[in-house]
Amino acid sequence: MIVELGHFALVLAFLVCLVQMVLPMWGARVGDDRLMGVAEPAALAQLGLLIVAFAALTHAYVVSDFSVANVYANSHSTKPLIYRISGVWGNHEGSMLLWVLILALFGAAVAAFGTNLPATLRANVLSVQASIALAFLLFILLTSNPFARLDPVPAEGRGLNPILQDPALAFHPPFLYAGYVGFSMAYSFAIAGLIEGRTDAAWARWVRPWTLAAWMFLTVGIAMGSWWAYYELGWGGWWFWDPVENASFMPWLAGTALLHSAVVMEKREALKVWTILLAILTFSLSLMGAFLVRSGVLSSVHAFAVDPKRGVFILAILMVFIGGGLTLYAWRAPSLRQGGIFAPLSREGGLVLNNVLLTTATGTVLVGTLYPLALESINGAKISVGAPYFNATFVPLMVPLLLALPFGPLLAWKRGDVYAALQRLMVAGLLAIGAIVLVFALVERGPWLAPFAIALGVWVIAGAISELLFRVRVGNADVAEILRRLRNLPRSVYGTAIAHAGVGVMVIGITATSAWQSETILTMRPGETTRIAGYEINFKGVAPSDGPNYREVIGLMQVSQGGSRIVELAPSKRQYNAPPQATSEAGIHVALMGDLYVVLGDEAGDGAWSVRLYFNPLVRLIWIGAVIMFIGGALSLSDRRLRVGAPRRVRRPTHAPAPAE
Amino acid sequence: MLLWLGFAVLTAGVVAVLLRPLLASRAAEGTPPGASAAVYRDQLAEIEAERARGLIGEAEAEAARVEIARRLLVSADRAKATTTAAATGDLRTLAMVVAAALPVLAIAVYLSVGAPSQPGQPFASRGPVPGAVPGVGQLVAKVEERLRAFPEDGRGWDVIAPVYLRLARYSDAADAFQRALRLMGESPERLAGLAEAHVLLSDGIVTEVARKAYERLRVLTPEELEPRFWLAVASEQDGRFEEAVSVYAQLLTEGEADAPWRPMVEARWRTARTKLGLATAPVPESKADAGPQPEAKSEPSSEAKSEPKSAGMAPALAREQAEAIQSLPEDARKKVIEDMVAGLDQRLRDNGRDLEGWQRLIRAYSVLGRRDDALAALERARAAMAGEAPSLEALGTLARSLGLAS
Repeated sequence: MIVELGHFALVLAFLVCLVQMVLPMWGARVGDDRLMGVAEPAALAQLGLLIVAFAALTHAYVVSDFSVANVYANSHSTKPLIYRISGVWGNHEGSMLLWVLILALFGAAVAAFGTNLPATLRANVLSVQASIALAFLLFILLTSNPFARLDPVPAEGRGLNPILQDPALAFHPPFLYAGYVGFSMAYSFAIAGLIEGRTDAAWARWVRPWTLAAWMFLTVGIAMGSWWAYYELGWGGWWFWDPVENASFMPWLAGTALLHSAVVMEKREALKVWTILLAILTFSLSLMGAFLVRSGVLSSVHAFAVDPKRGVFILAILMVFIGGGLTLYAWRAPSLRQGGIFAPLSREGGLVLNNVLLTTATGTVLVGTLYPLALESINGAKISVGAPYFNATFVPLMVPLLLALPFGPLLAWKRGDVYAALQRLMVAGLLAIGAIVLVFALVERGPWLAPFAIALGVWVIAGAISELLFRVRVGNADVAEILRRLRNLPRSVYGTAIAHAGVGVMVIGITATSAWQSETILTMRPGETTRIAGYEINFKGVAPSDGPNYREVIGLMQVSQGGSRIVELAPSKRQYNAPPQATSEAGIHVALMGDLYVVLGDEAGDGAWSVRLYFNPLVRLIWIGAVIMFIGGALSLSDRRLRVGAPRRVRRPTHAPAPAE
Repeated sequence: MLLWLGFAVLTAGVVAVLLRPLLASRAAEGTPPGASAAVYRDQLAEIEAERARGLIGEAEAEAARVEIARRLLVSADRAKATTTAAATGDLRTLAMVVAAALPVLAIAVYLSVGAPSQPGQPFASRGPVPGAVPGVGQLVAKVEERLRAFPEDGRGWDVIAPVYLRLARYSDAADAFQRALRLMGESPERLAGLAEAHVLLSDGIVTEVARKAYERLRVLTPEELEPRFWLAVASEQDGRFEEAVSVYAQLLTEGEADAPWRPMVEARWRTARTKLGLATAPVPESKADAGPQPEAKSEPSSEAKSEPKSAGMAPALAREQAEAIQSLPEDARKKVIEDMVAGLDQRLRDNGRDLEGWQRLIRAYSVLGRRDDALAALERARAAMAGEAPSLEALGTLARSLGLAS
């Protein structure tokens, strides 16, 4: 009964969306606030209904109700509770339901907190938001209904793909979707702005924090996915330029650009038209990500839905929302008033450079992702575009971006002084050069470019700290005064600095692990010892063990360094019972300088086992960097102040204090 | 019924929520005048606060105030320009339409996709379905649950292992038999089950584990035919076809005439012979009715040595002959065989156009250890078959397999 109640709620949510799409927009057009007033209760009702539907499906998973086809296909009665719950979105139908639920959550947020928005803008935004939800609900009801029933009821479910039975992956999709779908806010605001033909202060005031929130979720979502790939797939890598990874990375890049241009728009009312275009593009890339993953046009680990009917449907959604959005943009954008003007060398100018580089980077990833698909559809050749392409195109774009990054926050709005900024970054520059020298001195092998890339990371971190120090005018005050000023700094300034430092940390991690990873593959007999990166690894043998829904063979590895025991690692090979599938669990020892990563391979006969050993220097910094970026975003988000960019006068008053530097 | 009540409550709630704004009387003022203006006013206050905290200088604050003032003026102008358009009239009709259409459409759509009459069936509360076999799955699940709690319970593994095998969960079965063996000690059933699970798990390949188990079974239950069969399959898979052929032949002779496994072993025997390059021959027939066989009880190793001789011949003999020979004492049997070989030799001298005969003769000499005779027979066969490429090829293959090729 609960299942059917959920199913009915889903149908009802679809109809509510229909009402929410039509009436408010009509109301905004004719200026009737009763019609526009339908938007808020409708958005809240939609959320309520989808919560009922989602809860019903979750309940079916928790109690293992195999009369629901979706539960039968993706769950098993012996699966631990947490994976029975995460199994709800670990499959196509359930994840689509999660998608519309998050969409409704964002819509309801506009309805609940948007009281200071102009009524027509709010009505239009909610209407556009409802149209997106409508399309996806229709998709769910017609092609991917999670509530389809089975009769007769199977005795036991087929189980969840064991490599998805993992804590990081249990929470990876909700974060990712919160990110993807969060950008729908920016899209809805952009479309509403285009429909109204104007964007005012309230518009920018709303778009920036919502974009920031979406960006934060996406950052964590991608980092989780990468972390999962690192320790679960057992390849020792953390990013594979897999099309599915790219599908989430492109909206992130575009979203990062949007975030920065939204700052310009909020503070200076400049770059309006560009921001709107970026908002449309970012959400389009999110939709395309959903299309790439969900339609099954790619065949990779993630593509668990292969159904051309669905693909065509999502393609249609894609065409309506991207094509429609861009058409509206082409038609209405010229009528938007351009905002403030600025000199090329200014904070705005710096953010434009950021946008240019980030969107170009998005373009290169887009080409690398879609080119194989295009080629395959033209001549049937199946190629894969991997790391070499992206190293040659994407990385060179990141270098100027990172070089310029510390300058941005140090430039004044409207017109800035690059020379002064350079002076303030002197210390950061020296630190970076020091880093080059140090790395060359300490590391004897690896690509010669690596020390420079490390220096780039140091430069970004030191630059972020320099900015904070400049803000509190270190150098012309005593410690107490500096501390007082540090306390008084707005959280958004901290947010910027911390997020930027997070980028630097990540760059160092990526460089170190790509340049100096060591790898050994060998066969070991019990009692044998091998060495990698200064560790001695003694293979003690294997032992069987039991999990709730798998059996495993655990390899015992005694790790020591310089004769003293450090840790015992236990990489294992698991055999899951439903569905029957083998996975390998890496044994990872986390140390300050990097991860020791051990994978148990196959039995090689006579008690010998093949073993793969990796040492990934500083690899944790990649995810730590992502978390730091998230924290920076959260700090900035928590700063609810209004933002105005205060430009400096062209001619400074003669009594101005001496420059801080 | 409760379900439909639930539907009704949901629908009524949604309709009520949606209709409220439509039926409300028109708000006195439309859009709160200048939501933008409010934002700008807040921004002005913010700048003042920042200036007071010393975060921005007086000059910057002044510049920002001017900028905001400019934006405020623009937005005020625009607000004047866009006064609300003509109002729509009464919305009561629209409200009626929504109130009527929403439930009807909801039910219509739901009925086309839903299954209102099907109850939910949580796994835990599902009892045995009447008419169906009382849930093997459930029983297995119960035992599994217990074994998770007490993994050292050998009896539990003993019980569940054959069930796994029946349910085609071979990997689980292999594991369970292994555990039962470890916890409960060796028994023919467990060994056989373990071996079978391994063979089925690897698609018919007799793996190392399975082979060892069968070898052990051979010792524990020498009278059983099955281990011998699987060991023969193992030899076949290792490329030792002769060994396999001889064991198959033995099995066919020893086994009962209507044994269910007979067709399978016959097929195996034929395939293995073909691989050896032996020509077709009548399938060895059962002589199980002829009473107990002395060599079946004998020690495996000596049997293995003595077997090839009779086995190499057996397929070529007619049933009565085979029976007669098998029942003779060792010396007499050898004599009979040698006589028969001599007879065959003579027959082929008279009529050389018999490939099968030649093959049998060469094999026989070879098996009896009369290598020179075998070589001579090969020469004669080649001469007799001159010009017949396939036959010569078959002879060549045979010679190679018997080590007669120079």
